[in-house]
Amino acid sequence: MKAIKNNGGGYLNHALYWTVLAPNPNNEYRHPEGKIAEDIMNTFGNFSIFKNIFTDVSSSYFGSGYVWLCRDFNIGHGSHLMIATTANQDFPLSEGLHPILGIDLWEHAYYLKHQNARAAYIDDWWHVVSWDAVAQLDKWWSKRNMHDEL
Amino acid sequence: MQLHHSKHHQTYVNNLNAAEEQLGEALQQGNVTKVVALQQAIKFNGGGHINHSIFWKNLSSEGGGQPSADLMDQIHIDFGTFENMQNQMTAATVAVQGSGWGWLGYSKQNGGLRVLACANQDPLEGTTGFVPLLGIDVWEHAYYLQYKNVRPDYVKAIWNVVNWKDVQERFVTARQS
Repeated sequence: MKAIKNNGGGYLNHALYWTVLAPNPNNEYRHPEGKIAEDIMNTFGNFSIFKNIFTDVSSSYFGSGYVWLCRDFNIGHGSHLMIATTANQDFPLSEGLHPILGIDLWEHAYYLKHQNARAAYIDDWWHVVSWDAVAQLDKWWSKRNMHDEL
Repeated sequence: MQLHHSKHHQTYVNNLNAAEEQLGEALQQGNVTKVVALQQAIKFNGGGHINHSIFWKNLSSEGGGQPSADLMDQIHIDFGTFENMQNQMTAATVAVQGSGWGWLGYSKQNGGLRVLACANQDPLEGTTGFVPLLGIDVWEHAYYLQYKNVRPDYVKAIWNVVNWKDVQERFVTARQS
C-alpha cells in the first residue's frame, strides 16, 4: 500500500504540477482572471495577499512535500478555497481537498538551479504558473462535485 | 559538501538559535501554547544540527574499509557478517521516503546494534533512544548535485568514505555510559 501511495501519489502530484505550468519567455507578471481571481479576492483579500501567504507557507515548509491551493467542497453549500500542504507524495484528495495549483518543494525540484535558495525558486515558479490551466482545473473539479441543488 | 556544511547546516544552527531564544521568552512568560508551538522548529533545527555534526565526523577522505576491534565483534554478533550489516543499512537508507537519514544505532538497553531510519531531521537518540553511531543523509541536498536522483549510487559510494575510527569511538563511549 505504501508503494502505491508513494508512487501513485508521485505520479498524480507531478501530473498536476506540470499541468499548471507554462513557459513565460518574456517574464511577464502573471495573475488570475475571472472566477478564480474573484474567489481568491473573496477568500484572501486580494491576489497579493494570497501570493504572500502561499509564498510564506512554501518557504517555511520543512522536509519533502507540496503546498497547494485547493477547493474544499465539504462545506454546506458551494466550495471554498484553501491553502494546504502534503508531505512526501501524499495527494490532497486523500484529505478531501481538490488541488488546482501546487508547488513541488522536494529539493529535486530546485536544487540543480537554485541549490538551497528555495525562495528564489518560489519566485521563479510564480512566473511560470498558468492561471488559464488553474481555471480549467478548477472548472473540472467543480463539475465533478456538483451539488444536488444545482 | 561545502554547500551542505556552509548553507544547510549553518541554517539549522541559525534557526535553532532563534527558536531557543523564543523558547526562553515563552517559558519566562509562561506561554505554554507558544512553548508547544515551538517544538517542531526545535526538533527540525536541533535535529538538523545534531545529525550534521555527527555526519561530518563520520566521514573522512581517508575512510572506507571495515571497522576492527570491538565494533566489528558487535557487528558479527548482531548481523552475522559486515556485508550483512552494510546491505541492511544500504537498503533501509535507500528506502527512506522523502527526506531523512539511515542510521546504525546502539541500544543502551541490550548493548546491541540496529539499523534504523528517521524522517526529516528527527534525531535518532531524541526520538528512538538509540545512540547514533553512523548516519547517512538522504535529503536530496546531500547527493543531488553529484548523483541527481540516483540515490542508490550515492549510498553505495558513501561507504568508501566512512571514518570507522569515529564510529568505533561513538560505540565505545555509548557502551561506557
